[in-house]
Amino acid sequence: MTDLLAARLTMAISLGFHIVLAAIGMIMPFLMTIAHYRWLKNKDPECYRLTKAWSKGVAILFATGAVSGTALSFELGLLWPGFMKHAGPIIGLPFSLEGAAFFLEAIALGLFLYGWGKMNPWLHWFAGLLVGCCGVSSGILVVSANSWMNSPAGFRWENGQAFDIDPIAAFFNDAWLSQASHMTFAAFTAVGFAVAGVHAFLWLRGYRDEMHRVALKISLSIGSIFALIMPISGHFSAQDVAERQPIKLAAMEAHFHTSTEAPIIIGGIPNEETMEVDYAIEIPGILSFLAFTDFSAEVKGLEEFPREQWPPVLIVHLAFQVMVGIGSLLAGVALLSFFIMANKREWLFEKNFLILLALCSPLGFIAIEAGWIVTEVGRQPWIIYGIMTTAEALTPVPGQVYHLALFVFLYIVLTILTAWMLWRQLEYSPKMPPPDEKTLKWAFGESS
Amino acid sequence: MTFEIVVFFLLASLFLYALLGGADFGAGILEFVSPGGKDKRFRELASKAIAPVWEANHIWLIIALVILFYAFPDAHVLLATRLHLPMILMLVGILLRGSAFTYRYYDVQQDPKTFKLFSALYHVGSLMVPLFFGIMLATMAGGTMAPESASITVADYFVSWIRPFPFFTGFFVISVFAFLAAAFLQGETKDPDLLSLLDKMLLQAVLAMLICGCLALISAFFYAPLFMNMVFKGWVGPASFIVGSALLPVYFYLKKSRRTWLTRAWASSLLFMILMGFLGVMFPNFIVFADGSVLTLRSSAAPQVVFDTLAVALLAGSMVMFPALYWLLYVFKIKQPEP
Repeated sequence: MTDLLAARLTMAISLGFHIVLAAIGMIMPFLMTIAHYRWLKNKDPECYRLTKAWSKGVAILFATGAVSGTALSFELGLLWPGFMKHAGPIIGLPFSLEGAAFFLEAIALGLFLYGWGKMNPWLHWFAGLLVGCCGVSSGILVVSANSWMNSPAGFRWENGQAFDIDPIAAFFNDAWLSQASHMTFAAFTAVGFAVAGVHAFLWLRGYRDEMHRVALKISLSIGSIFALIMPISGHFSAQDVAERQPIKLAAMEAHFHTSTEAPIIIGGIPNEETMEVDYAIEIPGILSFLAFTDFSAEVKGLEEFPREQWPPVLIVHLAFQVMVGIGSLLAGVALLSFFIMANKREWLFEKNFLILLALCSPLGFIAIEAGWIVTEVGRQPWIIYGIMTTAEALTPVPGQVYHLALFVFLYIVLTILTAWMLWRQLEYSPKMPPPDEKTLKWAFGESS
Repeated sequence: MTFEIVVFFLLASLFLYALLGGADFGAGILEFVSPGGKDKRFRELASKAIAPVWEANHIWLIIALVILFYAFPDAHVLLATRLHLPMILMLVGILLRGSAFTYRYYDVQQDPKTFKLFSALYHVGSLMVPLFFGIMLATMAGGTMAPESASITVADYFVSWIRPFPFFTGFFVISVFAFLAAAFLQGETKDPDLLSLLDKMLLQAVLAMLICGCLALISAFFYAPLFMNMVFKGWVGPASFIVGSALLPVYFYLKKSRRTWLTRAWASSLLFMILMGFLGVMFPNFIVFADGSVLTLRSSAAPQVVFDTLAVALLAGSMVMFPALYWLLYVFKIKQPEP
């Protein structure tokens, strides 16, 4: 294995591992805040138990996410010093703001998790809300650095050096809005459905605890709202890519030949040699419409670009199909869920619907991973689009395959341990006690 | 002006990481190394003390790293390539400590086998981070790295830091962190048994600090002559050594009074003197190479606009961060805990 491939895989697994935890760390606080609010408002003990049960999971996942996020900030320099040497001064600003947001998030989490009975109950609730707000902010800030790699801005590049650096212009690069919003909505969708699926699964396994009923309603509502926003957000992201990175769009759609009334390709195995897509269903005109809001618009194919600038078409196309497929499926399930919640409440805990939700549980995260594969592999061979190749950014330190092996091992261990710890929490959840006298007195005063 | 602000924040975050993060690592070190660490009551006291704060304390490292790669890209790139291995190993320690601590703290079923596994990972992580942190600092100072322009061989990635001076410095950092933990935990309990246990640990840590500190200096004398030259060139190094040595006995005198915050501040000032001594010796160098050439923060600085934006971001950020940090410490450390 070459050092380049090893380094890319190390980065990929570091990012792939972290993004799941980051999404959970961003969104779970909001779910908790809703349950927490309902407890403080209605004194419903089930909402208290749910808040406590969720917060235990969040504590475990947040800690793992904090350290895997640290790993990413180290890996930037360890793997890509050529990139960091030039990009560091240009995109350091969002990273430093993200550092501040992350700091605030860690403090708010500490206050929320350990502050029961130690501060004003509504201030304590607010600390929980702050965790979510800071989490989403740091996510949005750090995506700015990634979107800059797709749409570099705020500098002039001459003879392999950056001049006239403008960190503010780099920060507000063109791709930021579409990428950051797409990622944020995706996180809400994925976490909402993942949590709903877990509680559906527990219900099916016979944990008929009232707490799970509340949990399922909260998480499914959040997941469903955002699952319906996702296709719109995805559409704007695709239009953005069509304009700025036509080669990435061509790879996503496996669109080899420039054409008007370009078809959308569903499924299929792209063949880079023959420049054909085997076994695909083509619907003419749709790609032109989606990319440029015009059924007869010309969409550039891969043939327009030199071969050495092509990203790996097969990987990008398949990942894109997986992402869009799951997005559409979850949007469908969201519609069904809303129909059930509005008209057929008794179906919500029907066996078949719960099985559907349980099956959907991992899908959102698979879509997020696929989406990152699309954006990262789709940018290859560039690390800074049109400016610097990934190979140029690679560390000169040899033996990166050992680095990869170490981190594959480490992340497998961490994944197993985290999953196992969460499972133990779930098994324990029926025993989660309702609020005791002291807590009730703290939250509601003498009257209760 | 903005250059100085940025350097101040870089050093301040380094100090706060060593102080607050260091004390958290020290709890894991004491648990593993000190004979008293096996005591269940000590473990529970230490875990309860660090659980709400360790994540916030850890972020000072991220802030230092981000300042480094935004404002001093050449320095960051040199560290990440030349000290690639110790940096990876420090990262492994960070991953193990943070996750294993949380798993152990939150495990609902507490069976001895799982407990042993998580404890082992937690201990290894707690030792690795200060060890490799110290190794990196000493290698930057020791004058063993091949110069910037030299062509690098595979061996260079090992021989610059697998040496006595960096390792003894690493052990010294371990003992300093253990000292901070023992000193800070004094204020967390009123149980006389635990307090006498902590007193013992404090003595052990101070002893280890003195031994490792001497060994680091002796090894520097023999194996890092460039560093030793710098030590005796100015007055800052010897002066902070003398002041630091003078602070230590006073600490033991103060400790008798059991005035929590005074003794904690005194222990912190010891770390401050150690860091000041090191930085004073190094100033203005960031890395000293084998041929005597140096890299300074000034020479690796990014364009001015970076410092202007970063200084504003840091000042604005600190308006939020420091009150928030105070809030956290107030709720868990300052306000009297309920009986």
